Amino acid sequence: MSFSLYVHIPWCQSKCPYCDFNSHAASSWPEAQYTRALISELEYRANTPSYSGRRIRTIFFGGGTPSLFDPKSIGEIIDAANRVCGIEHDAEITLEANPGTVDLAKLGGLRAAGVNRISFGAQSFNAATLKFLGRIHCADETRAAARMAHRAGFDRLNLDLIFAVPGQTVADVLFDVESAAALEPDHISAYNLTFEEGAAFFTDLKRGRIKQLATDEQAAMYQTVREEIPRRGYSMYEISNYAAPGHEARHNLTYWRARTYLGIGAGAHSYAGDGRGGQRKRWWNEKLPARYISAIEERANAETGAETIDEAAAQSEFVFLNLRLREGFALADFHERFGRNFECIFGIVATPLFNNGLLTLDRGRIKLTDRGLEMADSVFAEFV
Amino acid sequence: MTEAASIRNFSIIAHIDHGKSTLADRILERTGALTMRESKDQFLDSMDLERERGITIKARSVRLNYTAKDGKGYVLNLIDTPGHVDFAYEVSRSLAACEGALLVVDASQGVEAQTLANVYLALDHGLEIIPVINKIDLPSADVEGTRHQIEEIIGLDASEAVLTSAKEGVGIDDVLEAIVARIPAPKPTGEDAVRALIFDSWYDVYEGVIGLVRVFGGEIRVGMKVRLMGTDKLGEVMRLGHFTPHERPTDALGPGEVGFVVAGIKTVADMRVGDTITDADNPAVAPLPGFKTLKPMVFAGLYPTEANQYGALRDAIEKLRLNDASLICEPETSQALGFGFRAGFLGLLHMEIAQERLEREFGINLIVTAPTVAYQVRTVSGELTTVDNPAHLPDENTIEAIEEPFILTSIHMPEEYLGAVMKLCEDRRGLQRDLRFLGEKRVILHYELPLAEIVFDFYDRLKSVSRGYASLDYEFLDFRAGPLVKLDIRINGEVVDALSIIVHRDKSYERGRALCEKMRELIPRQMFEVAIQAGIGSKIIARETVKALRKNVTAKCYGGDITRKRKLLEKQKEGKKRMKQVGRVEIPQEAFLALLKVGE
Repeated sequence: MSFSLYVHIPWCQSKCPYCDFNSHAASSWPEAQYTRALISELEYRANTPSYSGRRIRTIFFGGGTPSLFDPKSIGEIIDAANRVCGIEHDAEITLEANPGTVDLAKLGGLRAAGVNRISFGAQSFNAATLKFLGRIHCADETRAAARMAHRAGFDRLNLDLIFAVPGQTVADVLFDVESAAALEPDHISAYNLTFEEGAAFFTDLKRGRIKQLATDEQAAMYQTVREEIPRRGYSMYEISNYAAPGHEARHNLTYWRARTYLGIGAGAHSYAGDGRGGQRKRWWNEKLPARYISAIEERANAETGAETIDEAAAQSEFVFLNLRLREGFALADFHERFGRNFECIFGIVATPLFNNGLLTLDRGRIKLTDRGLEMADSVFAEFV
Repeated sequence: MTEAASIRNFSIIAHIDHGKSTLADRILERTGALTMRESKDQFLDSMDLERERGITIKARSVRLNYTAKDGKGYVLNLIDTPGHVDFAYEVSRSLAACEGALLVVDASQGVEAQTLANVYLALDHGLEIIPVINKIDLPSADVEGTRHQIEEIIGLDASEAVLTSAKEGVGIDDVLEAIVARIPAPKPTGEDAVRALIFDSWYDVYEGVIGLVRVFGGEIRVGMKVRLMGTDKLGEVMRLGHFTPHERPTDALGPGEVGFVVAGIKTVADMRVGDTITDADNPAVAPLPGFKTLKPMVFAGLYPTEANQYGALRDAIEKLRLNDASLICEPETSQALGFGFRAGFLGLLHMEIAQERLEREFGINLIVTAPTVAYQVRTVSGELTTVDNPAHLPDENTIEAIEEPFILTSIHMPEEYLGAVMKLCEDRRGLQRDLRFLGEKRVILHYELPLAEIVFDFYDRLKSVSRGYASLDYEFLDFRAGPLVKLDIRINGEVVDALSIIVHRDKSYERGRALCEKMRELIPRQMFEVAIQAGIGSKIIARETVKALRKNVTAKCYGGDITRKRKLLEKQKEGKKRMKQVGRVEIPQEAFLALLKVGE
């Protein structure tokens, strides 16, 4: 069985105030050294039981801002992945890019290196919103970047949007949706802004320097997004994700279907264990790039924490991850994964959720209703 | 055994934070009872709960050996006292075991509230009071001002007040010398019959009940058959000893001595504070005065949030009762909450402490329902029943009258707060009985008040309007009929029996509105709209709505988020466990006590 590979590039030109990811603002970075470290880690992991003998189904370069790297470095990593594991011929290889950091030459180089899907952090097409979000690009740069990506041969393109930004109105959100759709991506991710611990906005909120929109307003915006993006030809397939038919992000489906992935790079998380039985484990790497590099150089891995996912936790995760998908999961899939019936394990907690119109059972698949979607976390909490 | 002439029994009276515990620690260090390392701050307060709340719930005693400047050896027994109106009786018994008290006043804060109630209690018991002005090292210390205040407000001669800084260890010798010189030795009673006052008792899993006693007459010896004169229980003395504070066994306790007694008694209810121990074979004619069996003033339901914890709650309450003779408990059932218990408490603090101990020491998630006093209901058929749960009030048509308990309160205060305190009493349906000046500036005020009006927040309000200077004491008077009605709270149309209260008709609208508002604040938004109504009979008098939660969904969940996400969901679920499901609505613990939070 194949697996998904995540590659973390932890640098950005500047850190956005809403971002709690492992990213570090920098004007220079040890690209060659870091690339070597990534390859060493991959070579090490490829020979561990969880991954040996398995091919790569998808690769995702995330960050940070992976587009800061030279396409040659990206190419080296992809080549190494192919050499040590083998990449399936129809693999999806995505790279996250900041619209302000690309030109046609770079996009061409990435395409030539093997990347076949680009994801731009557009976030908004409104200047005020972009400024509030601390973005280094403007709306026209996003438009130009999308056109260049198409010209460089990327027929798979995602645009990220953020809504429920303080100061935004429903009309602003609609404008962003229209502007994004006009660029003809095959995929749109629209995220409700959150205030995560570790992000500058979190502190701002705590200190009262900024204020969240009222939850009712946020709910109205979420509804707008859920109605308006599909009207433009994208179907909603996950809580925050929309795609043209057949163009879902396969890499991310790996996470939501609770399947095996390998994350390499500073702070990356990995999960092994989607087969029946055996040990399920999740682990994560040193977050600081310098410590990551030295750990790899010393001992070929940079693992700094791990947890064993027991059967009960694995079942919970399977349910709350799969339920993020509009298609939910088949009862048969649950049985296949765990060798037990869903009803036996979760029947008692699920029944009131069905009765209260939050879950439905449709042709053997369990999924959230529209109301269940809005209340997803309350539903999920029942399964942990 | 020690000669009575060389014994000094004393306690320390102080306002919270005025340095009582630090002074006690210094005295313990100075007399060699504790090394510096042992006296981890505040040795006397043993329970975590007490330390956190900064109050002493249970009294304790320590026996100290001190060689005074006159070259003679003395035994000093320091008897610690609790400090809240709910425990006034325990305080009075501790003071009854002493001949004197140190009154500790913070030189930078001056005389404060808690001090006063206990000083008057100590004066009532005829104790010799030694003023100690503490914290003289502080830059803001005002020794002369404080001395003046002690004389003005309390009416004590403060010219020979001892000046200390317990923190810096200054003046500790002066305190010890003053104890020896000024506090009288225990007076010989001249009787041979054993009479020992129990001023504290607690349950120990290995030995049963341990009682702290002050011997007045006769001599208790190991092996003696003893009788508790109040409860009429028999025991045999198995162990005697002192706390120094380490345990030191002894064979006998003689007149004037303080120590512990283990007599094979199984629950504190059989060895109550205030009772007298005597020799069963040669009993005293009469017990020492002042023994009372405390009656609970406040009743509330105790329910587990999860029905399967009922057994655990029952066991926990039983264990708690081994150690708390004033806690009364009986099984009861609520439509909304299922199986639980109706418990009686001395007051709200006592209730809160019991609640916290059940949750903390026994790990039980608990719902405590709105506290109430006990009413008497006279039915048309002439029956008289006691109702300590508003839900059990008989059908309206069968009620002739509802009678509520009235109490007589004595409030001591400096004259300047008289107006504010009288207004408070009037607002609480009080009837003034008399008003007397004690000296120029002190007033004692007597009011007849409905108990229901004072058990909840009266004490706090009194402290607030008198800036802490008023002290409160009360005794039960009688039951009086009044226009009392049952106020129900409906959640989504259904009456939640655990939320019903009995109120005076004139206050029912105001109370109903305030309750609904508070409940709206306390019940979180959930998947469905929640209607909260207050009603009397079928008539709705107030309504609030908790709007449905429109959205609760995390936008992002990718490879690096899953572990954290699962933990967040677990936390969310843990939070739910502290709520009670009533119909479809999840009601948090605090909402059941909304009554107490009205006006906050």
